Amino acid sequence: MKRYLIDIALFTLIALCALLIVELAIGNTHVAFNIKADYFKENKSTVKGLVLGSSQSHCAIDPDHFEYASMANLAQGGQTLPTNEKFFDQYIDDMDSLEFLILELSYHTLEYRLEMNDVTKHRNLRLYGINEFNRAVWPLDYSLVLSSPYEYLELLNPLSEQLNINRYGALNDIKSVAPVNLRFEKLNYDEEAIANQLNNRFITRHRKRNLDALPVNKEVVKRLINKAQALNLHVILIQPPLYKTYMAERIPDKLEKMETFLAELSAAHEDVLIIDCNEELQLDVRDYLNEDHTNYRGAEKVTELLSRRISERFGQK
Amino acid sequence: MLFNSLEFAIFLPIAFLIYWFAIRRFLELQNIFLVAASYVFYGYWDYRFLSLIIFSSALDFLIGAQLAETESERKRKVLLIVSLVVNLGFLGFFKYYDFFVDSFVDSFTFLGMPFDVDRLNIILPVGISFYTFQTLSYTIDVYNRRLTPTKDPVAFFAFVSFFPQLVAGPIERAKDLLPQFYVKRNFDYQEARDGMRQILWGLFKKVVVADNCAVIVNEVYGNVGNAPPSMLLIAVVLFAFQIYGDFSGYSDIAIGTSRLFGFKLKQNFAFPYFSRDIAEFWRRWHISLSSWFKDYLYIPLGGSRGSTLKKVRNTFIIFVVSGFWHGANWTFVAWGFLNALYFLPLLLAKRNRANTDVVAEGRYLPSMREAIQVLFTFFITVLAWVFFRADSISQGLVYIADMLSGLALSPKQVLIALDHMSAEMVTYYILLLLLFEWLGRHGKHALESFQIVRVRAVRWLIYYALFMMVIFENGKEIDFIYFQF
Repeated sequence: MKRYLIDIALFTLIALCALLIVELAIGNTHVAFNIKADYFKENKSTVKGLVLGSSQSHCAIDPDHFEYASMANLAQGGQTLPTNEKFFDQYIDDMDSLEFLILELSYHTLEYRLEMNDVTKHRNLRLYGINEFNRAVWPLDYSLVLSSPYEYLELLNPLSEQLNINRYGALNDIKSVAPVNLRFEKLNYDEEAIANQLNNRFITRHRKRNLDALPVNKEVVKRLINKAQALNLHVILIQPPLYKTYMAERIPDKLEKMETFLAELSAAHEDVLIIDCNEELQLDVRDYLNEDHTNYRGAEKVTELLSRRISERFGQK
Repeated sequence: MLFNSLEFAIFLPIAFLIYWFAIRRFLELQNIFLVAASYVFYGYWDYRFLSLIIFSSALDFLIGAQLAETESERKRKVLLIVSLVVNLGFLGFFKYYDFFVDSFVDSFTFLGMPFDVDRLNIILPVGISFYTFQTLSYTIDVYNRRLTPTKDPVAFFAFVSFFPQLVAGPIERAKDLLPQFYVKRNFDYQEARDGMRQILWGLFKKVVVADNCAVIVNEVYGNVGNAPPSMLLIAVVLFAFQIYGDFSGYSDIAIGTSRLFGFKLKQNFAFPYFSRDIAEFWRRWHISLSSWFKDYLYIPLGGSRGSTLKKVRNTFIIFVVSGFWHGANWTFVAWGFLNALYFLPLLLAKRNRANTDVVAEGRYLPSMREAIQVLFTFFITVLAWVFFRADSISQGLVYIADMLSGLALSPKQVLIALDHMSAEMVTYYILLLLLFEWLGRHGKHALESFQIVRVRAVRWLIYYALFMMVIFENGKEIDFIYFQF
């Protein structure tokens, strides 16, 4: 028995040590989520704008091109509306200089799931102290590598290229994106080839309906607008650019529900600025990473539009 | 409590330490502790359903005692019927009530007499199919005088609720497991060590292989009408490994955990995807259930004795009932029926016991003939899994029709589809699974053969690699498929 227990203890101890070393190393890697969180922690009391949304806004809005004021972009892949609200609630008291809230309201947003995936739950807990586990936090919940080992271990690959990411966590070139997202570059931006491949995950994942989430998400948006306006913040609702094949594949009823909701919001809150990038911008295929994400070129155009429209509407401060 | 959860990772060492350190010398206390630990394990999911297990255990214990005391055949038969009616009644009510109501309503609607009945939307108690069969086997064996009924209620309650195999088997026979509760268990270093290896391998199959396959399979099955043939083909192959990894992984963890506590359970999966024909597959897949049906259904029906027609009838009955045991849906019946069809030619040609040894015995690689046989058996098994995973028979038929239209795919097209489905990583996991299982196909589990590696550092490196994969993939914590059965 003694021999057995020593074996088990030794085996476990070595594994825990290895895990600890990997976690520390990941915390120091030069990747968007670390840089974004560092920037936010250092500047949250001085930023004037806060972006909340999914990967679409993460890719489409680069604070570096935002001339109007300083801004933090906390949008990230798969971020749900309830999580946007948690970010807002968690940090609003620390953001003394905040003047406007930019909230993504894309085609998929209202029927998007309500819960974050596990990977992001771990990351939000570790980097922002947000508990989305719906239970008390356990020590292993703080681990990043356990939530998605290959994604994180890849970051430690000494042979991988240094990513070109700016201080806001935005991507400064095409290579700074996981290869799986570089669909259009893989297809050499060939519009015909893109049009012939409609069954790809960027389009199919938003084909699903989730009518249970719809009323919950609508309430979250309304609450966020009310909370922001109660603090005298300007609210901007943004619809990030979507490529034409994605636009054509949208489900009419889902689209109508989103547009009706936007019209209701517009009528109820005349002071809310709504920016539909698909109407106000004419992007080229080379401005996209894939069907529903822009690349750094697209981000520059979107952010300039955002900057201009906010400036026009709310004036220079 | 799931085996692949943090809760179990805490529960198991605590139970182990109490069992071997605090109460090692007291057999009665150990058995009481195992009952309590098993009820905690089960009650963690839903404590209300503990009453069902306790009731079934008490009923069959009392019926067993009564069967021992009475010589009247009529009274004995009544006692057996009471046990069968109550146990199968619970199973039927919780598992099949809504299904029968739906089928009844559908039949009348089809005949032009539509009506509706309220569904109860009953929650299925986890593991009810498993412990019901386990406790039934006790009563039937006692009734048939193949087993002396126990006078030890604690041992009997522990036998019914033994936590490693309570919710998804292996379905143990009373004659094998119950006597193990009567005798003092001694800690065996080799058994415990190999038990840990078996747990590790089970976790690898479940967490790394099955759960990763599940993500892709669910995506494709949620989009059957739109998915191209290449994706359908890949998804159903992945499902074959998902269900194997899931269920055999559970069995390995259950058997390994039992070994830590000094118990021996029967092997439930014996590398079924290396089978050379469907009969061999069914001797290697879910062995405890197949042998249960063989002993308590097939043989009482006449088994392979009698006319050819009777043999065919018995074969279809056992496969269809086995399918129905898996779930209250016609898709499971279709799955069982299809397997019976596969089995039929072997039965008629009296070739159903042609392959009883291990494939490529004494060789590293199979012969060309064996490889073709194995691939063909795998392919027809995969076709049947389509129905097992489908929501309805019509969805299964659409799936097969669409999938078969892509059978002429080139390897390049398959690689492109794997890339689009982000299935490269899971493909590597499956190849690793197959490699280890091939190397260990003579043993009780794949890692058993690694004992021959003399250098501990090498062995540990292999375990660490597997352990890390298990740890790194634990985020999803998907339920074991067989819990729902």
